[in-house]
Amino acid sequence: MAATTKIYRTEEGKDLYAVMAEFATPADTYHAAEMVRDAGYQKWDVYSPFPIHGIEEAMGLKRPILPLLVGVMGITGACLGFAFQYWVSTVGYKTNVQGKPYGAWEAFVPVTFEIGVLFTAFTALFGMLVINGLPRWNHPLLCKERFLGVSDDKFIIAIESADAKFEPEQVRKLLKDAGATAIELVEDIPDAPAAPAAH
Amino acid sequence: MSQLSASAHDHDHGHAHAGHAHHGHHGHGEPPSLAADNTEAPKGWGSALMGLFIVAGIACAGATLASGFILGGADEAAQKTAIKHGLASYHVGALVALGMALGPLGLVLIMNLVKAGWFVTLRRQAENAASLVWLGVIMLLPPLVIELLKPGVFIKWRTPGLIATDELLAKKAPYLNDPFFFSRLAVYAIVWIIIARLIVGFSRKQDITGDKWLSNKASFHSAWAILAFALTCAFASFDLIKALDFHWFSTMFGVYFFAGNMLAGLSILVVILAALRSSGRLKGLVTAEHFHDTGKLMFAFTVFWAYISFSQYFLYWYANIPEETGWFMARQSNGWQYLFYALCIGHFIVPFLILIWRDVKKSTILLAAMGVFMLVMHILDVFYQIRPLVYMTKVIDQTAVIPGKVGLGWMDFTGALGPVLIFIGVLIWKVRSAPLIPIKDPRLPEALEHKNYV
Repeated sequence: MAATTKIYRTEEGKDLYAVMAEFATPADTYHAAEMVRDAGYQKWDVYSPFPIHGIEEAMGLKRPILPLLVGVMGITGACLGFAFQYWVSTVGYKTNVQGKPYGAWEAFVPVTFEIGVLFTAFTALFGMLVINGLPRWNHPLLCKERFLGVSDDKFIIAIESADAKFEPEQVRKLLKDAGATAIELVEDIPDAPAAPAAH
Repeated sequence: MSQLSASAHDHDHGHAHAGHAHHGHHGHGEPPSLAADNTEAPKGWGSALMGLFIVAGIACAGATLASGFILGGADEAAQKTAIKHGLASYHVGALVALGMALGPLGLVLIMNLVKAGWFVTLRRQAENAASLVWLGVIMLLPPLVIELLKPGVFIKWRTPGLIATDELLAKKAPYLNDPFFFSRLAVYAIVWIIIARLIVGFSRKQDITGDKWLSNKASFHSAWAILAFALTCAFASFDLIKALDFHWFSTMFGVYFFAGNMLAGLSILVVILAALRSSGRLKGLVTAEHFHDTGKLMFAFTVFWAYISFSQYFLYWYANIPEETGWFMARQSNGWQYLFYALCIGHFIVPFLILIWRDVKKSTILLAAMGVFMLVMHILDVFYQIRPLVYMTKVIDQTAVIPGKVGLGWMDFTGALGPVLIFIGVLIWKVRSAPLIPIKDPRLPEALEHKNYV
């Protein structure tokens, strides 16, 4: 799976997917994320039961493309909605309503708005799914008993072996220095569909 | 909560040391000093502008009010129209000035009521504008005084003898009569001034005593005040704007008035804060984060204004009943349609597309520029509501109106500018008269830590 980088194997002979570390508090996780960011890793992520304020800065995440996409698609949808109604009312199926002009823009506003909202909602949902590489059936991290705690009260940082800078011992040392309470290797799932880029 | 905010706080300092300022926002690294050189306006701040605005404002206002009497007309009817033109033009400016006080007053009441911590460092400047509601009220008076001396010259329903020929007026007379009308106006003025004095008073007293319970008192009294404010504002809009064309009626008009005023209030707030920041004040107190949230409110009220004004228009347009559409007909013909479409674009589409960008909302300069732009649009909006009445000459068969020409004159510019300039001039004086933030508010730390997590 790590096409460009060296493949590490666990003692059982399985491919290594990532090194994951557990942290006790959101604050510890926050500072650990800053350390991983400053160490220059690219393919890693923070897993938490709830949003940690400011974590995107601590992780050094860039502004996502999705809002721009949603805005552009919303405006496109509104324009298309308006154009379609205008075409229907003036060319396609002329209907005299109360003697008002065929192309009266006032009547088109509610539907224009609705189509705009529809496009933004669909772009937001499906754009989010595509960018996150969803849906997928499984994920290597989900095989780890310890990882399941992130849906309750645990905080996990996982640095993936696909990262160009990945070196197991360095990663382990970094996470230990960052205050991890436990560190584990995560085995890759054989024949699993390709994992998406974390960022 | 405490754990999280503590970590975020540490993180700010960590950044400064590690040299990762590019991750931080504008405003970091500015220590939020409460010293006088940060929380008081510089000595003589804006003096020249203040003098200029007040003198020019009085000159403009006076010239507008007098314009009809000086220019006159060929016959009595033309003379009356000329006077009406001057008064209506002035009324536009006076209502904008009043809105620049009422909007911030509503904002302060809401923020006190919900105990908004982030707004604390901005609240004093909103309070300054709100406390000038007396000035807005006074500026409404000159046309009313002239109207009292010459009944019907400005407020059509007061025309002597009209009640005998106008059936609608006869039906509305229990509401539209002199004693009730003028006592209503007095009630609005008294309620607004009392609320403003009371709520701003708590805040100013806290500056001196530091009594943290004054914040709770302000919150408690904001609760009834917001109800009184909403009702008086709605009825004031009926009496001061809608009743000028008394055949028309709209249940949405009070909300329309409120939306416009809130936008004007937020705009003037942003401009004042940007001016103070460019004078080196409010460092670390009013940051890009606060501008971001104020910008969001501006965006929200831009959309809200468009939503309610379109809803108002749309239902009348669809139903197409003469006594309802007359108001819009007068504003969609004889040149007025250009203003109508200019408002659709300038008051909604353009600010929507600009204010939607986070970078605009976080930029002091850009948001202040949008504030000035929205104030101009608000003036046009009020102009659109009032000014078409002047040349709407005749009422035929009780309901339909004959739309009038635009008849733009210099007094339209001086009328819109005069009261607004006076208001801004006095506001500058007001800004200098007190600390720029409520320095002893117990929620001040919340405002200092304020940050938009995305």
